Parts: sequence; structure tokens; C-alpha cells
Amino acid sequence: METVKELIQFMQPNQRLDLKAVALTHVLSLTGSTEGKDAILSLDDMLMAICGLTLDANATIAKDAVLSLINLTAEEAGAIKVFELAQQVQPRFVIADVAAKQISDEQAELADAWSMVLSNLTRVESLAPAILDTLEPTLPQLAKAFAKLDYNKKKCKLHYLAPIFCNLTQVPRGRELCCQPKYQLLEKLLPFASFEESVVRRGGTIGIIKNICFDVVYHDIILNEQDDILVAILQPLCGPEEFSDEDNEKLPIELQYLPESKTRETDPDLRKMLLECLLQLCATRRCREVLRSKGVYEILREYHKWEAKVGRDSECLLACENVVDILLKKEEEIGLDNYHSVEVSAEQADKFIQDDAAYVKTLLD
Amino acid sequence: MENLATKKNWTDEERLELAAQLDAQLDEFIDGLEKKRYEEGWPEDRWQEEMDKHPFFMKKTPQPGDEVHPMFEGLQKLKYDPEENTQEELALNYKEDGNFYMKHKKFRMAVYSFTEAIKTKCDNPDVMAVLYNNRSAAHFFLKNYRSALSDAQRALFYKPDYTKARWRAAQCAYELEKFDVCTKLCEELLEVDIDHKEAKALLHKNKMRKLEVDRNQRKEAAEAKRNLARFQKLRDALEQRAVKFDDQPINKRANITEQLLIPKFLPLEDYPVHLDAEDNSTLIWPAAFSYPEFLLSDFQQQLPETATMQDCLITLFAEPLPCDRTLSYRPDNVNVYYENRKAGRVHKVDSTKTLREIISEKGFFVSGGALLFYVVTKDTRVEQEFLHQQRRPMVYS
Repeated sequence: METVKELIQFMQPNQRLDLKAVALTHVLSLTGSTEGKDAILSLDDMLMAICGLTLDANATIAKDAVLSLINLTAEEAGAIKVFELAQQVQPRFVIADVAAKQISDEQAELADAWSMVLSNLTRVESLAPAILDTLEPTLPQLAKAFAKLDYNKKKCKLHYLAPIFCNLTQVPRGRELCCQPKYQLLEKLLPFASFEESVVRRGGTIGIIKNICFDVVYHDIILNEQDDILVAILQPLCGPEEFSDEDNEKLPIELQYLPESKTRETDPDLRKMLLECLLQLCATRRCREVLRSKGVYEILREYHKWEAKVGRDSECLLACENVVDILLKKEEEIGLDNYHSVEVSAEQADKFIQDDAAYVKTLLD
Repeated sequence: MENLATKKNWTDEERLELAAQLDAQLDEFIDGLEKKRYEEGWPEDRWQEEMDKHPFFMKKTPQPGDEVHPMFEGLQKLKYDPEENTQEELALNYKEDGNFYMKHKKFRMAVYSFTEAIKTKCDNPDVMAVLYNNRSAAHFFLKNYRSALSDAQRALFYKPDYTKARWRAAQCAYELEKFDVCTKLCEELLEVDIDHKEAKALLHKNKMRKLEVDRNQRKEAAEAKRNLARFQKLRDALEQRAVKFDDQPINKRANITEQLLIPKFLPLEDYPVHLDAEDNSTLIWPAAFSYPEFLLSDFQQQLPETATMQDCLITLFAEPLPCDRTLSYRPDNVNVYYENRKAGRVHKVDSTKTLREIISEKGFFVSGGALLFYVVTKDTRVEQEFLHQQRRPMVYS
């Protein structure tokens, strides 16, 4: 602990370059272990020194400092500590601001690293609202940076913007901003639900959709004239199978006549999330009717066959069957306008969960 | 005269005297001038005509071949002569012309004027930007979208924040179905002004059109694939049965093409041989039945290969032939033949055989994409004449 404390003096901005570098390298390796992290997190001055060095003129120093921050913020406690400390000192180091600036900078080499820091910070539910407030003005710019594939000229891919946006939609205001038609944020983000080159982007985008779907307020927006969100959900679940002309005409235009080369989402967790989105959308009668009219059943029919033979994830199969069960029922049978209004007691809930678990085991041979 | 150099105080009287003196001198001078009538003006009765010819007052531009007032030429020279104008002035002069033509919807003339303006290669980027932008507009109204887009983009090159030009470029890109270019331009417009209503609308319209075009392409590709698969199956069926075609040389087995299977007989045109849609394994043939006696033919558009010739005859004569006065053409009273053109012979058909069996006979060739049979009454002179007709074998080089 004492040795760690001693390092602090070598990590001041005006120190000799080689001393800073060596000290920082040592600190970075410390952040790789739990004890090391705890040690550093307990020393406010050390944390401040690290933050300070992220803005160092020397590229290697700055990089090591940011990498250290990534490790330190990886878990909730560390994230909270770093964030709050940064707020308190003078001059204020508004970490979210710094991160956003770097990410928006086309020439920033550390944009990816900072986006990982921000992703870690926003994941913490208690911090998300405050960070959202700071980031709100820059959201359109961040969306632009995300949507334009070669935005960053120093080879940063900015994939981690997806989880950042996703985390921000945990907060109601975040969802509100995403769905605001004026900035068309959602339109820019949605295509990445099928972005083959990065599971991080896909995962983040699908997470955004899921957060929005779980908030009934937005169901109307989701199932409006435009189909954007519905298409984003269905596209990863669609495959190359041919539908008849009649069935094709029902589908949203982007999903009609898909070619032989179409593949489905490879990550089962993501497939499950998409199916959960659909399940949420089945809550109200109006939405159910819209889903039926858009050929969702037909798509899931083919998807189920594929999942049983190729995907082979039993939880996905269950999730799919849950949706299909509802879609196949006639409205008179359901007799309910809104599933959310049904009350389920705790014992019933437990029994259902147990039944599901047992059923799931039988799904795959 | 008194010496005015010395400062003298003039009295009013003296001033008046001097004035009168000067007046008198002037009158004398004028009187002394040659007295002549003013003849250079316009004759009174033709002043309207002359007005119309004067470059300042003319109401119509002179057409080629008209006499022009010498001043007109002079003015033209002034306006368009590169020596009389700087580059920029010249460019602006042509630009004025162009704008004038635009206002009067003479777009081709406008293009010409702006082009001349551009040719001056003047140094002022703002002027060049406007010239390209305006020419772009002229092209746009002439529906020359490619030229309009190119000009609008050149305008943007000279002046990157030229919103009007960018908007026009976006519209051109849409018309040309360059969807990605249009999207990019609309987004640039919205970045500068998020409330640009038209850009928002175009962005949306463009996206929808792109989705449509993509979907149509996919649909066509799917159909083409289906057709190809269907044709492949048909081809396999024909090859399996070793069907022979008249239009193919005997030895060389060329590929069966769609072209080969198009029936040449007009009534059969729309019914090329195909596989039965239900069972996908029975061939359905178009056929022509020729009556040498009457020099006309009957056409059957869809005969399954499983039908026997007898079945076909029954169908053919279900109702008697209009020209068959003696009602001789009945299934039991006719012989059916087919020609083997290569060998120059005819073969008699066994009516109990199915079409498939007949087609597989050594001498049978599909002719003009269809089955061709000749029907004559049994043991008649008609039959004899038909049989003994001169037929030459076809020779292939």
C-alpha cells in the first residue's frame, strides 16, 4: 500500500516523462488484479493523478492512463468511486464530458478507450441519469459518430457507443431522447442491430430496442407506420427461406424476398433478447393485431424450424414458442386487452418458472 | 474692355451693362451660323418604326437575317468583347443573359449563356459557384439530371456551404436513383438546418424508394431463380427422353435452349412444351395436325405425353371438321403420319401408342417447337398423293 502511495508523486503532470511512464505502467498492471484495484481505489490522490494523466500530451501516457480507468470502472463500486471523486475535485474533471469530447473528435486516437470507460460508467444505474444530463447536448453528434463507419480517422471503431446508448436508455429520459422524432437518433442506430462485423454493436443496439419495448409508452411508436423498429427486431431472425408471394406481400418491405445468402443472428443471447422484445410487444391487443398483420407468425414459423435444427438453443426455442402461442390465439380466446393487467401471485410465478425449466429440457433431442 | 485684373468695385449698373453686352455677342454668333434644317432626326411619320429598331428601345430581339442598327453591333461588342471587359465583368454579363432566359423559361438558351460565362474561367469562386448553380437549375428544368447534378456538385466545390446548390444536387440524385448520394446530401442539409422541411421529406421519400427498388431487385432475382430451376427440370426431362429436334444437327448435341422450344406456329406461340404443374413429371406438348386434303391445320395447345394418338383423334373430331362434307374424318377412318425431314420420308403412326412413345421413335423430330402430324383419310387418293409426294432428305454441311 505504501509503495502504491509513493507512486503518486511521480504521476504529476509536470514530472519527468520517463518517471511518469514507469509509474503509470506499474499502476496499469495493478489495475489488472482485484487487490491492486482496491488499493488504488482507496487512494483518492492516486485516482486524481490517473485522471490528470489521461490528458497528458504524450500519447503513451495518456493511453495507459485511460486503460487504467477502464479497469478501475469495470465494476460498479469502482465506477461510482471514480465518477464521484472526479466531480468533487477542483478543477472539476467531468469525466463524461471529457469522454464525449474525445469520442466526438475525429482525430482522437483514444476514442475507443474512452468509449469503454463511458460504457462502464453508464452501466451503473445510479450514475446513468447524471451522465445523461451531461451528455444530452452531444447526443446527436455521438449518434453521427456511431452511424458513420469511418468517422474516426485514427482507426477507432467506436463500437462501444452502442452499449453506451443502451445503458442510457435504462433511464426514462434516455428512452425519451432516443425516440424523439426530431433528432432521428433511433433511425440512425437501428440498422446496427444486424451489423455483422461487431457483436458489441449488435448487442448494444438490440439492448436499446429491448429497453424501449419494455416501456409500454413506446409501443405505439414502435408499431407505427414506419416499421423501422419492427424490422430491426425481425431482420436478425429472418433467414433465406422462400415465402409465397402472398406471404411476402404481408411482410415489411425490407424483409420481402430475402436472398439465399441471408443468415440469422449467431449469438443465442441476442436471439433471445429479440424474442423477448416481441413478447413484450404482444402485451396489448392492438399491437398483437399489428404483429399478426405483418407476417410475424410466418417469420417465427421458419425461425423455429431453424432454431430446432441448427441454432439448438432451448431457451430461444421457448422464447419463440411463447410469442407464437400468443399470436396464434384468437382475440376472443385471449379476452384481454392488456396482458400486463393480469395478476400473478408469487407461488404461481414460481411454479411457472419451474414448469418452464422442465419443459425447456425436452425441447432439444 | 476694362482691365478686369484690377480689382474694381462694380456697380449694379455696370454689371447689367456687361450682361447685355455678352448676350448681344451670343446672338450675333448664332445668327452668323449656317442656317440649315435639322435632318438627322427621325421623320415624324416613321418614328415608331425607328424606335423599334433602336437598340435601347427595341421590344423584340433581332432575328438572324434582320438588319441591325449599327449601334446594336457596337453595344454587343461592348458587352461581349473580351478586350473591353475583365473576365469577371464578362462572366457577369453572360450570367445576366442566362438569368434573363431563365425568367422567360428559355432553358436551352440559359444553358448556353451560363456555359459562355463559365468559359471565361474567371477567378472569383463565388461567381463561378453561382454560374454552375444556375446552369444546374437550367438543366434541372430540362430534366437533364445528370448534367444538373454534375453542375450542382461543381458549384459546391467552389462554395461548400452553398445550400441552394446542395438542395438541387439532392433532388437530382433522387431522380437518378443515386440513393446513397441523396441521403448524404440531405443529411448535410439537415446538419446545417435541422428544420429544413424539404430535406427531411426527401430523405424519407428517398429511403422508401430505395427500399422499393431493392425489394424489386430481390423479387426479380427470386423469380429468375425459379424460372431457371423450372427450365432446368424441363431440360432434364427432355434429355431423359432423348427428344430429337429438327433444328439441331444430328451429331452435335447442342444445348436445349428456351429459344429452341418456342413454337413457331402462331396459335401455339404461348404454349411451349412444359412440365405439368401438378405432378411435375408429365410433359405437356403443343401440336399441329395438318390436313393435306384441305390444306389447313388444327392446333392442340396442351397435349399430355401420356395421351394416345387415338385420344387425340377423338378430341380433334369431337365435332366434325367444317370442310369435311362427307364426314370422312373420323378417328377410325384416318391415318396419321409424321415426316422425317432429315431422311425425306413419312412414317405412319400407331394410334394406340402414347405421344411419348411416338416421340421416342427413331425418325421423329420435334419441329418448330411443336409436334407436327399429318392426317389423311384411309385408303383414298388423298392418302396416296400425300404418300408419294416428293421429299428430299435434308443435307447438313
